[in-house]
Amino acid sequence: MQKLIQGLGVGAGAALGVCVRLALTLWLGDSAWPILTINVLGAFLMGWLRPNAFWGTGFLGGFTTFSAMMLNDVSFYFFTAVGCILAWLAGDRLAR
Amino acid sequence: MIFLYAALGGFFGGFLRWSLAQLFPGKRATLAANTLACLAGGFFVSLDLPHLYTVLLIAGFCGALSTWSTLAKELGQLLNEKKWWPMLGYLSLTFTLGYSAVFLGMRL
Repeated sequence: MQKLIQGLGVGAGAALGVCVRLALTLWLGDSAWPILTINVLGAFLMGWLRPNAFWGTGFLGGFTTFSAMMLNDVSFYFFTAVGCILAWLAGDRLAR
Repeated sequence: MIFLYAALGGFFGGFLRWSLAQLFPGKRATLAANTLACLAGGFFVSLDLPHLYTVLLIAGFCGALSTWSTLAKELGQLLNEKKWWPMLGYLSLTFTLGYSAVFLGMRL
């Protein structure tokens, strides 16, 4: 039961994260650059804030997206991978 | 209204990703969620749906089912532990499966 409540919390966090991403893509367009920025920002916050299940798996997991990047321009795959990993490492160092 | 659709898709995508994490240990869950999201994403894109449905299914459901934040964390932790080859292996496996899943999804 405790587990299920956590799962529903993650779902709620993801719903919130998706809405923030949608607001940003409605404002900036849903091309490759906004998606790249969103993913790098989400990876940075994941490393820096070390969030719990609701904010981490839920909110940031819903905010960032792997599928949108895959459906986008192939040339951005490399930049996204390098950008996200470096952003997480930078956040992780900041948190120490 | 559009945000309600996004939130609904996001809730189920996030819940499914969490469920996968309960079933499989660690990286396998992330890999499964990202691959599954690409398969579904490719399929939904090929259907050429009205805008509201693409928000529900592609931006919402597939977007929340897939993740870069957890993926970056797992890859970064491998780098911190100086596990270069497992890191490159996991990254290339995620991309290969994701790309193949989109390709397959579009042809379903």
